[in-house]
Amino acid sequence: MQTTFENNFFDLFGIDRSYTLDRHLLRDRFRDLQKKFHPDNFASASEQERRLSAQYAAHINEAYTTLSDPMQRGRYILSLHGIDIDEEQDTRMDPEFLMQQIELREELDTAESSVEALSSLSDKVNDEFSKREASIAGILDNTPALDSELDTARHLVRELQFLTRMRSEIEQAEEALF
Amino acid sequence: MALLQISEPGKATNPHEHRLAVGIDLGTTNSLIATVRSGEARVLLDEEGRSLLPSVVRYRADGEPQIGYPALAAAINDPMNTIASAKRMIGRKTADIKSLRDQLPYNFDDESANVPRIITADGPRSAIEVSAEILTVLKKRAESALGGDLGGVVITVPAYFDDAQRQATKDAAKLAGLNVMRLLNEPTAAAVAYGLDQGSEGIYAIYDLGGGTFDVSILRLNRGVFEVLATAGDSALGGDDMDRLIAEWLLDNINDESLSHNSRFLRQAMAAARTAKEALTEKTSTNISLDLPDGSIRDITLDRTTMEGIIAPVIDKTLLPCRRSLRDAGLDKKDIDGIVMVGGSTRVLSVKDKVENFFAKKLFTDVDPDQVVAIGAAIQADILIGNSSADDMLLLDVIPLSLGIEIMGAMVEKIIPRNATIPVTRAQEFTTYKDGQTAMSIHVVQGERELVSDCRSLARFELRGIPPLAAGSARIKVSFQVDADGLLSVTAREATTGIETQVDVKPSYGLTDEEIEQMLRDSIAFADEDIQARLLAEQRVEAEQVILAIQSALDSDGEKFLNENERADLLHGINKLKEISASEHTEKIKQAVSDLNQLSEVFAARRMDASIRSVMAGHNINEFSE
Repeated sequence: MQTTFENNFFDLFGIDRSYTLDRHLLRDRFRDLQKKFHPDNFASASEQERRLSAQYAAHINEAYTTLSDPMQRGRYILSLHGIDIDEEQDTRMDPEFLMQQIELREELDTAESSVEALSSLSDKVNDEFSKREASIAGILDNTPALDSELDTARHLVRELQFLTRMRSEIEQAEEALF
Repeated sequence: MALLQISEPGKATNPHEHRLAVGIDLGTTNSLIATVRSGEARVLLDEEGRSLLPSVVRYRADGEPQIGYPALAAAINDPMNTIASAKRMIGRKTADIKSLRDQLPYNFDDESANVPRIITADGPRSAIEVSAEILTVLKKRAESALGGDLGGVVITVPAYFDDAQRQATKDAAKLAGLNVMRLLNEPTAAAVAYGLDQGSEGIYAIYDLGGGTFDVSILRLNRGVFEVLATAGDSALGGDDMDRLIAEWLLDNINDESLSHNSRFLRQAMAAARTAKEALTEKTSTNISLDLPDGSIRDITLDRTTMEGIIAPVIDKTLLPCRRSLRDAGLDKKDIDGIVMVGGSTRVLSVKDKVENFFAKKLFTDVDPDQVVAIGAAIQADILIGNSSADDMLLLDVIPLSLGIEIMGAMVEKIIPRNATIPVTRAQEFTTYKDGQTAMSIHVVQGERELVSDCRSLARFELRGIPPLAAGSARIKVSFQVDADGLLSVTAREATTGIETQVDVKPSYGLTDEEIEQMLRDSIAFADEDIQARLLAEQRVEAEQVILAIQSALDSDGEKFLNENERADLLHGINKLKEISASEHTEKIKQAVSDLNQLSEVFAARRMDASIRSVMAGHNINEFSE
C-alpha cells in the first residue's frame, strides 16, 4: 500500500523544493503536522493508530531535522537528484580545501586554551560555512542544474561535513575550558 | 481535486465520559499528585491537608511498611530500615551507585546480580519497590479524593534520566497498579504549568534543582507548542548534596572521628543540615542542636555566608549543564526571555542569585516550586485521557543522551544524537568482520563518550542466522526507535535473508518481566486481592477501550475508507471481542484484543494517510492564498 512516507520532505511540509528556504514557514508547517500526528493525540486510540502515529511523528521529525540543517538539506536534495554522498566512490577533495583544513586544525591545537582564539577560529569556520551555503544555493536553486554543477555541489556539501565536524571539535574545546 | 472531509483520527473517546487522570511528581525528597477538576489543575491533599508526601519508606519486621511522614519521623531511630532518596538509586546498577553507597547508611545485598537491593527488616528491597510503595500511597490518596479508579497517570522523570532509569520508573508504576499514559520530563511539565498559566511566548530556560536531580531545559513556546530545544543535567545532583556538605561541616566542627561511622548520628546531622539550610532562606544565622551519642548536646551556629560557601560547589556544578544546553540549542544567553525556577532547592537564596547572574535574565518563581511539576503533569494527563482537547497544546520533547552501539575496538557509533526530538527512528547498516561469520552480538549503549566503557550499557542481544559470507559482505541494518516516553526499542535485520531480531531494550541490569510479575504477586498492595481477578479486570478494560476506539472510528469514517465486506469484518471482530470479554478467560480476551487490532490495521492506515494528505493539501491551498 502506498503511504505518505513516499512523499519527499519538501512536499510533506508543502514548501518549495529549494536549498534556500523560509525557516519560519518550515517551523510552522512542522508544528501543524505534529499537532495532528504526535502520539499525544492518540493516547486513547486503537493500538494500530497509536503505532502509526509514532511512525508518522518520527518521520515528520526526521524530515524537519534534515531540512533544518544546511549540510543535511544539501545532502538530501542531492539524493533527490540520485546522488548519494555516502555511497559515492569518488572521495577526492579539493587540495586547497584540504590545506585550509590542516591549517584550521593546527590553529585549533594552539587555540585550545584560549577563549578568544577559539572564538576567532569559530568565526572563521562559520564564515567558510556560509560561503559554501551560498554557492550550494546558487547551484541547486537554479533548475535545471547541469551534471557538472551537481558534482560541484556534491563537493561543497562534503566540505560542509568537514566544517561541521570542525565546529563540534571547537565546541568541545570551548566546553573543556569551563 | 475534491477535498474529503475527514474527522481526526485518535479523538475517538466518548466525549461525555469523564475519566480520572492524575499527574504524579515522584521526587527524590517529596512526591505529589495533582489532577484537573473543573478546568483547574490542583494538587491533592492527604487527610491532614498536606500536599507533600515525603519519599521515604520504612520497612518493619512485623507489619506493613510506613510511608511518608511516619517513616520520616522514624528515620533517625531506625536508619537502616528507612529508605529515603530511592530516586537516586532507581535504574542504576550496583557499580553506578558505589560512591552513593558510601554516603548511605544502608546494608546492600551484594549477591543480587541485576538490581541493587537494600537489606531491611522486611527482606531485601530495590529502589523500584520503594518507589512503588510511594506511588501506591499517592494512588490511594487520589482514588479517595476523586471517588473512583484512576484511568491513567502521567509520571514525571528528570529530563536527564537515561533509558534504564525511565524503564525502572515505569516498572515501579506497574508494581503499584498504575496505567502510565506517559513519562513526562520534569522541566517540560513545569513549562506547561507556567505557559498555560501565563500565555507566554518566547524562549525560556527551565532550571530544575530538586532533592537529588538537576535538569535544565531550553524551550521555545509558540502558539501552544512547547518545543524542547535542548536539555542537559545531572541525575545525581541536588539539595541532598548540599545537606551532605553541611553535615560534613558539622562533623568537622565536632571533630570526633567515631561519629562519621555512626549511621544514626549521620541521619540526625543530615536532617539538621536540611533544617538549617531551609532556615537560612529567611534568617541570616541559625542555631543547630545535635544530640551526641554520649548524651550531651552540641550547639553550633551557622550563618548564611558560611553556608553559601559550603554549598557553592553544588550550585557551580549546575552551571556547566546550563552552558551546554544553550550551546546545543544553538543559542546565546541573550536569546533567553526568562528562567523558570523549579524544585525545592531553588528556594536557596544563593541558587537564585547565581542563576540570575549567569543568565542575566528575570527569574520566574511565582508558582510554588514544589507543586509546579505535578500540576503540569496533571494538565498533560487530562489531555491524554481525552478529557480536554489537545488542540491547544503540544509537547515536543527530546532525548537527553545519545544512543549508539559498540563497534570494533570498544568504540561507540552514535545512532541517535542527544537532543533529537522524540519520537525518533533511525537506522544504520553494519557488516561482519570475519569470513563466514553467522552471528553478531549487538551492544546498545547510551552516553556522549567515545569509549564503550565510559557510556552506560543498556542491553546486549544476538542476531543469529546471518548467511556465511565473506567479511564485510553481510548487511545488517540496526534500527533504533525511541517513543514519546523516551524509551528505546531496537530491531536488527540482515538484508539478504531478512532475518529479524527485535528487542525492547530492557536494561541489562533491570528487572525482568518475570521478576515484576513475581513482585506483583508478593506485594502487599495485592495481597488481599485475587491476582487473577485483577488481570481479568484489566484485560476487560483494555478490550472495552479497543472496541470504543474502533467503533467510533467506524462511525465517523467507516463508509469513507472501507468497503461493505471490510466493514462487516470489523463489526464481526468487534462483536466477537464483546462476546469473549463477557467470559472469564483472560488469555482468550487478550488474544481477541490482539486479533481485532490486527483486523483494524488497514483501516487505521487509510485513515492516517488520508489525514496527512488533507494536511498537505491544506498547505498547498494556503500557499495560493498567501
